[in-house]
Amino acid sequence: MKHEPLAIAMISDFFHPNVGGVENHIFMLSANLIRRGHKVIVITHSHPPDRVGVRWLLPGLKVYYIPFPTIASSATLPNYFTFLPYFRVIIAREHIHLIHAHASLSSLGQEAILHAPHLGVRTVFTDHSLFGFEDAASILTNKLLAAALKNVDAVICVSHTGRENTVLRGQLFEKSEDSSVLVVRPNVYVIPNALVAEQFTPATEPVSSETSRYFHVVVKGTTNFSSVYIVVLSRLAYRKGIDLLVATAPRICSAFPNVNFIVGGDGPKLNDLLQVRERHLLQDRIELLGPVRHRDVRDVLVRGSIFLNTSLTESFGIAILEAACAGLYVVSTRVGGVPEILPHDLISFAKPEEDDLIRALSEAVAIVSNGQHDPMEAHQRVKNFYNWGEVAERTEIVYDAVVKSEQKDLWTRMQRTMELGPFAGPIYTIILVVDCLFFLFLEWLMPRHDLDFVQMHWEHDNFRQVQ
Amino acid sequence: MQRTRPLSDCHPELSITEWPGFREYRVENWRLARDGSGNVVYGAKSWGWIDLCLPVVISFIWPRVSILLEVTQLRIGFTMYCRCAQVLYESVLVFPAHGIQLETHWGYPLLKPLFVSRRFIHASLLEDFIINEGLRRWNVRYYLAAVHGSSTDKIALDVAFENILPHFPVLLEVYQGVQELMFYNHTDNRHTCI
Repeated sequence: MKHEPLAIAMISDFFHPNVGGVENHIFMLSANLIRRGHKVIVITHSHPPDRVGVRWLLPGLKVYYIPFPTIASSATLPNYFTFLPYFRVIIAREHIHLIHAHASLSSLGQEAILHAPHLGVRTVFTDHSLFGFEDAASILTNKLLAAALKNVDAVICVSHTGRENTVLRGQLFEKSEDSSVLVVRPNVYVIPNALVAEQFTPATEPVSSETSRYFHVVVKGTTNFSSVYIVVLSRLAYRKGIDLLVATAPRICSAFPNVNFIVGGDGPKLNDLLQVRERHLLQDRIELLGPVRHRDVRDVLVRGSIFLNTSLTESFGIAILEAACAGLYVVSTRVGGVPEILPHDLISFAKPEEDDLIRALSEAVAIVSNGQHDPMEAHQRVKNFYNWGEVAERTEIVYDAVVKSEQKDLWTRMQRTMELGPFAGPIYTIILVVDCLFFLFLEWLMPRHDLDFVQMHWEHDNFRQVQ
Repeated sequence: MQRTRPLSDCHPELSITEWPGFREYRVENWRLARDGSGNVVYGAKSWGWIDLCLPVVISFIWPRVSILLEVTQLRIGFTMYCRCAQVLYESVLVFPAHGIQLETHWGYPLLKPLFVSRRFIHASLLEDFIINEGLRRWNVRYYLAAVHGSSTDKIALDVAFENILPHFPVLLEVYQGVQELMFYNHTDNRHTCI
């Protein structure tokens, strides 16, 4: 079904030149929406030294880098009102219909949801991660999220587990008609991430490693003693369960003399890995690659036959998907949205405990050594599971539903904001009212008719002409 | 010498003059109000209400302050300087095969220009003439920029119409004219149409 072309603004703190899951998601989704005929721009914060202003990315994606300083890992401080002037000008001059905010830690996205109704623009929010409920950072983020999502038009999550988590954290309930029971809002959707399968193809011939040159002969039914490589590629942080890896690696190495580890990535837990290597004299069994660029990930993956993911929390697990697409057998902790992404014959699960992880790894080593896992067949299956075109199509359906729904007026929004609680309610309502007054002031200071409107944009047809 | 106003409906401040040997794109420092009322908004004012308030204020505080003579002279001198150093018009002069020249003319609005600044960019140094978008205070504006090399081998941008900063339709007109005169002569397919 062909949808009306829309003008969409993706707003997030997390965008290129930083590299990561959210950034890649925004870029690939934007590229596919442009291919489907929509106009997409991205608004994000600037990066030192001179990434400020307006830039263009292929394929016709305009990016606005707003000069805000960052505090930690590319997130800006919630400065509710200083974003409004830039936001108003950009949205008005680009004739935007709908904004799509990404990531709960992105204050730019949440502010955009607050400001958008003043301009008559619809809002969609995508949540990419899972959060807890008990530590201080989570409590604060959840409260901010609940306030932002009170008046959003649609919420998209990347997995069903993620949807449950977001609904609980953001309090996305409404009273049902007979006002006796709370029901989940109908505008919460699940649209998974995707990957570009052509970038993750298995090795067509056996890959020799740097430390050994075994030719990997697979004979069904007999155990052979050629090397099995377990690949671990992640940020070396607590959240990613590196402590589990540190505990299980020596035991696996002593139980299976032919199993070696290849660990790529960097982070605060690198020292723990180095220490365990030293203590158990595993320098030739555990190879540490350091930070790996995204374009080199496939080459690292095809060196191994098992991919290990020890995350303590994972809302989708795109790394697991990339490894499965490259033909590796996956061993992962059963957390978050991981059980939803792959069929269970391509993945072994374990509880996030040492003994269970060893059980799962032993199982995986046996499966791979007996030749019961075929990389090419796995790749052929996984490459059809997810693709960005489908994600864009499903997102388009959400946009369509949002644009056709009715917009809430100011009084309704104020009433809904007051429902947040005895303290948070009045605070956020005051923020909303001051926001309206600042908006009126800006309408006087920089009248709409004086803006430099965009009259020409990159036409996607130009690509076809060049071809 | 022939002068036309190509955008006489909405942007009559742009005029194109065909001199023998070069073409001048001139943007004057006034515009039509963009709310459609047809009023003229002057960027360079010959007098304002502040000029009438100034003698009143001075006559009020004259008996009360001792060093007032110097302050008054400074104040009047400063006001006269400001009034005579307003931007009257800015131009882009295109000399085909020689280069382009960016000019700004300052002066008192009812007289001929008193000060002029000119910047000539030779055709061999001129890489391109582009319309760029940038953040300016709380706004996002389009501006015309001449991309040129310099003696130190670094690429620099020089903004045309830097003080007046007209809106996009004016810039598009100037852009197309400069591209046609400066770049289409060399190769046919160097720039595709937007």
